[in-house]
Amino acid sequence: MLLYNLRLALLSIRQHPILSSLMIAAIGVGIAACITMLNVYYLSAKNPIPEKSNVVFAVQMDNRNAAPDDDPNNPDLPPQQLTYTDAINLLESDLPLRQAAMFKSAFAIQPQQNGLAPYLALSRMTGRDFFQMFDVPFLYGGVWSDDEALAASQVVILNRETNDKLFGGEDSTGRTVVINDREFRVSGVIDYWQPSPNFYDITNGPFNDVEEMFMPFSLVWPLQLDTAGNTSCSGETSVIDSFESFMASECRWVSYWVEFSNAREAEGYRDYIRSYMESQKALGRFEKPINYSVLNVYDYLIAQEIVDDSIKIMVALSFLFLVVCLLNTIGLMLAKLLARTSQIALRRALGASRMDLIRQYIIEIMLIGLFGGLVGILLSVIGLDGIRSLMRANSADALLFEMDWAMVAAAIGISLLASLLVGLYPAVRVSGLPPAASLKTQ
Amino acid sequence: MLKMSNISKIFRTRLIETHALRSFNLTVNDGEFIAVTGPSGSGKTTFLNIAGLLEDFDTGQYMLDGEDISGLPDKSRSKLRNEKIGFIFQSFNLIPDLNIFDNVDVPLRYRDMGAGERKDRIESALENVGLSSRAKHLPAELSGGQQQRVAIARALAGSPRFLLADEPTGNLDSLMARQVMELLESINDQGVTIIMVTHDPELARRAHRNIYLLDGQISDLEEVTQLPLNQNQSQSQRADHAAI
Ligand SMILES: Nc1ncnc2c1ncn2[C@@H]1O[C@H](COP(=O)(O)OP(=O)(O)OP(=O)(O)O)[C@@H](O)[C@H]1O
Ligand SMILES: [Mg+2]
Repeated sequence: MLLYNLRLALLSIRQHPILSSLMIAAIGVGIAACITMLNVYYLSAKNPIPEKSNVVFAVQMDNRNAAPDDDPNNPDLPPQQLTYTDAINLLESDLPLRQAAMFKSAFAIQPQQNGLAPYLALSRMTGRDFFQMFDVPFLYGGVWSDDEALAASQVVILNRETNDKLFGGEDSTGRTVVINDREFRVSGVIDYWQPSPNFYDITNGPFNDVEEMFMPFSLVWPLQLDTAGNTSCSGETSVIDSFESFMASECRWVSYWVEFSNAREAEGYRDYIRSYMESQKALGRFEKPINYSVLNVYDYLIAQEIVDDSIKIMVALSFLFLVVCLLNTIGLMLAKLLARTSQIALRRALGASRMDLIRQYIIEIMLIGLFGGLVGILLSVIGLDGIRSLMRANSADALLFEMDWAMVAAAIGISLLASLLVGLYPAVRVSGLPPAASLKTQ
Repeated sequence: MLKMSNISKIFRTRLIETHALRSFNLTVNDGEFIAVTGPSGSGKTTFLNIAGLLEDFDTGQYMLDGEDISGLPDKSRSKLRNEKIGFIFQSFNLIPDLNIFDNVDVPLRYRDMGAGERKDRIESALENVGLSSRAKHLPAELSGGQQQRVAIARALAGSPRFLLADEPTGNLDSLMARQVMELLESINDQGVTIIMVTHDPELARRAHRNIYLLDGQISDLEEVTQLPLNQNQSQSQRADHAAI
């Protein structure tokens, strides 16, 4: 019976090509709007590090002045970044399983190969633990050693693209890259890795690319590096007139992440942070009441409102739009069925029950819905392309907004469900018409 | 056996009430061939639709094969229609998008019947009406008489007990009308009870029994006057029915 109904449905779609294409288009456009927005939502709400999101924590401390408040939107939320002083002090603790301070800095890479021109690239200055803590996959080599970190050696880890560019994708471990006129030894190459959202550096854009390379945090002093990310300063900024005074200032530009072997251990660490802040307060820092947070990745992203309300509103609007499209489809389906009342009456006369006919027309509209869903997927691929090119202007990763299987399944699922709802009223209504009257009009 | 007692049917529109059937009584025995005549608007189609479970009635009782129809849910009515009743309409009512084979297939699709049995039934029904060679044609490619024969094949494919025909020859010329009538008679000979509405007195006379409808009721007078004209039927059978 299902096959028979599918055959009838195909026949009917072919018999009413204009009405059917209008329905397919209406469902398709509605689905495309929803899927595009859902995709944006889904990617921004996605857990970037699902296996570890409850054992990896962001550390935040509020060192802001009592007034004026420099983040009026979130007066209670500690700032995302720490001062250099605090980051260095926290590194002393041996409570975390792994921990890393980090910031990003810009460098000039001077390729010695392939006649490439020098170019600017971003490097994440961080600690050895960064890679294991965040499960960064390595293609070649590995992380620099503890000794190299202590000695602030000129070592670098390249990302895959940079290694492709500089070394044609070969294993470049042990080879040299000239950066800012200095020679850096390659200790490893990471494979493709792009957490989304880019949780470890929300401050500088949750959808930014992972940096081209990684270097030891300790290089900040010998190279007198400054950050290529955001800096926000509290306290007296007029006294900052040198590298040393900046490093000692109340400016926040370092983010800090810790990992514990289980979530409970974070409790002890929170006590540690509190007593650290109290001891600093005694030294005249931390003017405001003590305010800090040690949030796991999941809670951190929620607290940072990465999924912002405008995306939610857009998702809601796109579903409203789908509803409008579906209401139109109901009208079209009703028109299509009302044009067929004599055939419906005939089938009744020949023994079809009301349910038989409702089933037949629901299957027909669901087939149309399926086609609409496919059209919708096609349209949303185009729509996501548009968003991607918009985002690329904002230096976002090209691969970020991509249709994945979950979205394809969602598109098909939503369109089947939607068409079921659309078909219900026309099918019930038309199959309930008294057959005798419709037979007479023939 | 089909038995209607005191059936009445009123069509209500906003402005008027039409009494299409008034205390209508009729018993049709198995194997009968009944012709229903009467002026336009007298309720012939209404009677046939009620008999075929396509229309509800307001009062009275309708027993089909000993089963009281009123109050049956849609599913059971549809099943009765599908298994016991075959319809033939004046305008053939074939589905234009389906070929002849698939048109005859329609009622069988609403039964739990395997593809093999359906095929056998369709083929023998088409053979019965002499249209085996046209199975793959679309209705539009057939003459009116052929289309009506397809409709008859469709009505017969489910081997119904009752065949309800509403002016089956109304759209046909006299030659084709006679062919269709002969087909109906041979079907009746095979044991199918037939109720046929017709405007053609000649065809009506060939039935076992004539019913004349007037203003929603059977007019006894007309039935009696028509009976002696019906020379072809056996006297004993006619006598039985006249007593009803
Ligand atoms: N659906 C309906 N709504 C209102 N009135 C109806 C309806 N169907 C039939 N009638 C009325 O009921 C009466 C009987 O109609 P019916 O169709 O049974 O007549 P008929 O004998 O078949 O006529 P004809 O020979 O013209 O086909 C008519 O007066 C008609 O106007
Ligand atoms: Mg009529």
